[in-house]
Amino acid sequence: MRRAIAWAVVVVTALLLQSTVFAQVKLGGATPELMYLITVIMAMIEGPEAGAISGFAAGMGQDFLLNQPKGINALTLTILGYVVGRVRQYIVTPSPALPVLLVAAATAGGILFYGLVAYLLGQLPGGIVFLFKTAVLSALYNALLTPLVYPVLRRVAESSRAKKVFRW
Amino acid sequence: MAVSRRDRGTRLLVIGLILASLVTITADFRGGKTGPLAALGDAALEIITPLQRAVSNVIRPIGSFFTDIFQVSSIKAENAELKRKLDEIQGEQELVQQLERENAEYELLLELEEAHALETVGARVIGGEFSNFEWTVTIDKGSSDGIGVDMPVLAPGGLAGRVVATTSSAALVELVIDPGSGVEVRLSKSGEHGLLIGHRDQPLLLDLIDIDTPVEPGEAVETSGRITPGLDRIFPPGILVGEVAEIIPDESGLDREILVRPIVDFSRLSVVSVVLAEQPDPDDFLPED
Repeated sequence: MRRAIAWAVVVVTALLLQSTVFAQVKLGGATPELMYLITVIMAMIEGPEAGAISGFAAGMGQDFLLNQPKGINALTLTILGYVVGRVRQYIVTPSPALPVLLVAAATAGGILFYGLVAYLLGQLPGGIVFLFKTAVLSALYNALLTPLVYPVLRRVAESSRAKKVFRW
Repeated sequence: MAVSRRDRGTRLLVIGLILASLVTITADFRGGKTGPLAALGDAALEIITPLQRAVSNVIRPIGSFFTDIFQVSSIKAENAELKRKLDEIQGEQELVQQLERENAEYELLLELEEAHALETVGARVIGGEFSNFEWTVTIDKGSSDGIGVDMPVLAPGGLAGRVVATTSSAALVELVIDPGSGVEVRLSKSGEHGLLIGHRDQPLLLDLIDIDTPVEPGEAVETSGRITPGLDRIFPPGILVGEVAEIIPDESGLDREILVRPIVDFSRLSVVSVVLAEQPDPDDFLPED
């Protein structure tokens, strides 16, 4: 329960930041995709199950607040959270660059997947070139934000987890 | 054993979530703008907009500051810019300038409204686009102020877009630069009618103009007042949308691309006004019995 509340706060905060601060501070015309960022980081910290749930919640959150085609982000982020959580289990490296690289790759992959689904539904605005450009720029933007966001989310995850263990 | 059971549980969960997403996509796709999911989306908007307004009020003075930093190319110039900005903030100069600018923008808007004798509601922009794939803004007035879907939205200088969703205290505006936006327009000199289509951050595309019609760069493009396909309302006639920026002839010489620069600066949209007055019903123009 505690974790669910903490997570809801994180999602809403990220959505607010995305639609206010980051709508103004763009990188080459692209905004960061904070939902992708927090899903990937959550999956890295907590594993595939929590990754999938977080992705689903974040995706649904964004879809409904967008008032746009609903469910596509939820689908993309559920899969992304699960896959990243899985992949993370097979990578053994102490390198601090790992989260940054994983975030960049997962964001680009996720946006392309989103674009594919939206395209199949006939709801992709902007065309293929724009999609690829956005995927690259947003991945870069997310990667830049990772060193700032990762420690914060890690602390959120750890504090909500520690209380739970203590109670038992 | 325990591990594999847990794995299976996770897999089932993921499959369940994916199915839920697919059901949502399908339900939304079939339900369209009136389905139950659209209503849920409006409810979500109702929750997020007050929060957005609060954040927007806090970051508004600092927002333009960050934008400036971001666009400076070299560190040296950035440093100078920072120092200059810092001085400004210390003297609360920033706030004064902002107010002055808003004042100027309001005056421009007022001129536009008075020139066309329109009944309008003024609003502030409280949120930008949520993602990379749409060109919409959230404004701080909604259905309780009389705003409804498809109402035209003006910005200082000219047409900004139309309302696509409302809550009681906020509304979502689709800008004319959104690729899904099409506005019925006419060229000011020839009077030729065409359709102006959004093209993201690039100039707008003017379509359906006859190849023989003379068009020159700088020519004003204004709303025609014709009924735009797919909309319930029409944009009031004679509102400036942009001016012809460039004419790119086709290689074959059989067609050309007309690019139109929007008159509104969408990168720094802060005040808008929504046209309330009911547009004339197309049936009104039919001869009476």
